[in-house]
Amino acid sequence: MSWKDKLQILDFETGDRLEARCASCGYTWYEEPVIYFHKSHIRQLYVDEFEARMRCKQWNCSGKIVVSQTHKDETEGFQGGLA
Amino acid sequence: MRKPDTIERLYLDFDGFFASVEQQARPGLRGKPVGIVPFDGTAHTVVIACSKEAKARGVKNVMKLADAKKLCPELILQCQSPDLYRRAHNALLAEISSVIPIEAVKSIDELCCILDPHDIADPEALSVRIKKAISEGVGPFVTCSIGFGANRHLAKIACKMDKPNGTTIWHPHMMPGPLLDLPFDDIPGIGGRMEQRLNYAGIYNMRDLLATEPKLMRKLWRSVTGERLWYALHGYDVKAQKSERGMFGHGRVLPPELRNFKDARDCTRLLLVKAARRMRREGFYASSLYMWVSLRNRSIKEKGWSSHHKLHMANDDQACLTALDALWEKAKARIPNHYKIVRVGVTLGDLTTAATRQLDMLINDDPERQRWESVTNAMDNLNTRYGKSLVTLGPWKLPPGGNLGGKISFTRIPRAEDFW
Repeated sequence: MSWKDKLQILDFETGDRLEARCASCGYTWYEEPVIYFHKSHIRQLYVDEFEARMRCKQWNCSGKIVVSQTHKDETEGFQGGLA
Repeated sequence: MRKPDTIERLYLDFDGFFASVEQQARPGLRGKPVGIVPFDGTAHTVVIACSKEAKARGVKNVMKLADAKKLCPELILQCQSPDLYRRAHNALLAEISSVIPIEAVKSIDELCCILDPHDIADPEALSVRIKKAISEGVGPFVTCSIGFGANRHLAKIACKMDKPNGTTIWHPHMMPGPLLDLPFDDIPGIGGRMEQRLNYAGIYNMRDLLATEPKLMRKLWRSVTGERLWYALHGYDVKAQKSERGMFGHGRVLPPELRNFKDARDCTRLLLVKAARRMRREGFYASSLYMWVSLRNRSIKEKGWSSHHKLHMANDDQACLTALDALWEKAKARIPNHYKIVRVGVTLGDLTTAATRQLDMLINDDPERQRWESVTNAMDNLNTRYGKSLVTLGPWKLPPGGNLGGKISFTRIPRAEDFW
């Protein structure tokens, strides 16, 4: 079991982004799950099913896509060593 | 201040993160001593991280390569892959989030979580579930150590007690027992200089430190941090305060063939454009551009030069690069030609959010700024659409070593677009 077969597209919130990366050419883009909320055949999909349906958008590639969750790029860090 | 009477926090630290991610991604490295180095092809560098097999042979993180090779001649050197570590970080966080919500990401390989009553009752089972999710979702070669404690700081210290792949639980009723025999080295927040200061005050071990008063710790630390550390070590609910964004910047050590004015200038252009892109993504404008360079010649080891230029709340590439040109003109006039430029850095500071931005009445460059902001936004959109630096203001030639702007620090984990 992975997070990809626990979460459905409709589980995401506005502002959430999924990073899609082509396993063949490395082309990377972001998908906003919120734009699929009104498409009933997509919003019910689990992330692994959504991932399996995706293909690379680059011309002449059509490689398989690996989807990952994005997180804030800033960390909380430490203050004088305090966690 | 509240003093929890049960464990409330989990702290998770990945074991030898960079090296174990490399071992997971590259089967040829598994089970072997691996050292991660920042650059290929030079012996004058350091091992920034190493695998548990290398650690067992005495190699440590941030050790000179020559020293590491002496201890472990069979050490396999692997050049760092920041984009791989970034993607591994995202995948690991997704797996952990499927077990327990993450309270705070502390660095690329450390995070903490708040425990719910179910987890407080059975922390071992939670630890097993997290490790299982990581092993099944990412792979068995990336392992983590988990600590449980009354607060983040105690949980962090606990998680270092049983590395690699261990679980340590410090219930409040056990405290301060496990802390008493620890060396100062094991306590985050007590470095070499602070240890000297403590010794000077007659504090030689953790027993002495825990017996002091919080106000004395504040005095010794010469800041409130000492007092906060006292409360953290005594099990109170204390944690680091969130800091606010103050600047966007990038720096780079130049390879030997680029240690001249022209190439250093080209490198700062790219660093600045990358920093400006990040600033725009976060919705900020900068009022100052700072540039610093490290210089070297035959007679001196290293010398710094820095300067800054006013920007008038701008965030477009044209304004930033014009300011950079002015700084380089100043640098050329001040720095003698016989110096080599070994390191460069640029920082956009004095930040303002878009909502609080005020235009400069005396300069009156708003129409021009708006035009350049439109151009810059169009360039950003094209680059995002094509997933690379397709359109840039001026040439775009990456220096050897790549990864420009993709540096992983304690306070930032790069995004995919930082590598474009």
